[in-house]
Amino acid sequence: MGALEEGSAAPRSIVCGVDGTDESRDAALVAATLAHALDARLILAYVAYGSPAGLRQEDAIATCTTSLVALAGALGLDDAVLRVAFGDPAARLLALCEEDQAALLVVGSRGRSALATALIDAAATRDDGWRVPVIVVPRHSRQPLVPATLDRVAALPSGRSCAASSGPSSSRERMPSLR
Amino acid sequence: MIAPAVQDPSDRTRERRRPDAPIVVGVDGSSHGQAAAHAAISMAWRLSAPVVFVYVRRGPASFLGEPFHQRRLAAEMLAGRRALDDALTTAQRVGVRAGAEQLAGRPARKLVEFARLRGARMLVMGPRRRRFGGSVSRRVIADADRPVLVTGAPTPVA
Repeated sequence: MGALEEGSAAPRSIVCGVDGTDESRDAALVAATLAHALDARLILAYVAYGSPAGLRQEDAIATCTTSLVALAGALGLDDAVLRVAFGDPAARLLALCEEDQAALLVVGSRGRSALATALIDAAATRDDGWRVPVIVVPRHSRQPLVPATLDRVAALPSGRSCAASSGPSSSRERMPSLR
Repeated sequence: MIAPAVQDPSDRTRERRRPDAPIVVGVDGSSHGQAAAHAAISMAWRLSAPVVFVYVRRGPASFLGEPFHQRRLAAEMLAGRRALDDALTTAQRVGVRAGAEQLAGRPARKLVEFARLRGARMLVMGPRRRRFGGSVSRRVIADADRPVLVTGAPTPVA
C-alpha cells in the first residue's frame, strides 16, 4: 500500500536514508521539512554495508548512532526516530519502509547514484502490491519541497505550507477520491 | 514533529522563494504516467501547491515524408492532449490548481529544463522502464537540480 494513495489519510511516517554524506544531509533536510508539512513521523535510518574491519558490531552501531544523533541535533529534529541497520542499503531501506508502512522514502543523490537507481528499479519491478514512492534529492537542490523552508519552517502552523484555495483544512483530513 | 531549526548553508544559493512553485509531473498516457499524476495530485493537495502536467512527445521521424509525417504528428499531439485532459480532470475533481503543457523533444531533458524554468518545487515521474537505453526516471534523477519523486508501479487491474 503506497502512502500517496488516493483517498488516504495523511501519511504516518517518512523514512530518510542517511550515511554521513552531504547528499544525505540535504535529503534529511527535505524529509524533515516534508514530515513537518504533512504531520508525519520522521525516521532517520543509517544503513551501513557492514562493520568496518577490526571494529566490533557494538562499536559500529555506536559510531553510526553517534552520527545519527549529531545529524538530528544539527537539524533540530528532536522527535525523529533513529534507526541503524547493516546490509545492502537499498534492501534494508525498503524493508524498513515496509515494516513501518512508510509513506515516502527520501534519499540523497549525486549524479547517477547507485542507491537511487537500485531503489527506483525496486519500485518498478515489485509486483506484490506493496510499493513506496521514492524522493531523490540532488546535492544542493535548488528548490525545497516546501518553499517556506527558507524562512524557517518552525514559523509555519503544522500541516499548511502555502496559501492556496485547495488542500486540507487540517493535516489529518482525508483526501477526496481521484476517481 | 519539530521543524528543522537550522537553515542549510546552501540555501544562500537557492532560488528565491516562490509560494506558488508548482509540482511538475511527467505524463505519457500509460498506467505509469497515470500513477505519477495521481501521486503528484495527492502531494499537491497535501501541500496546497499547484501542479503542472507535462507531456513530452518525441516527434515522428522526418524521413517519413508527407503525408505520413503530418498524420503521425497529429496522432501524437492527440494522444498528448488526451493524457493531459485526463490528468487535468482528475486534479480539478479534488480542487487542486493545475495546468498542462505539451512539449517536443527528449523527455528527460525537456522535463528537467521545464522544471528549472518554472522553479518547480519537485518533479514527479512514473517508474516505467525501457528495455533499451535506460528509463526516463533514471536520466531525470541524474540531471535534475531539485527533488524528484518516483512513484511505485501501478497496482495491476485484476
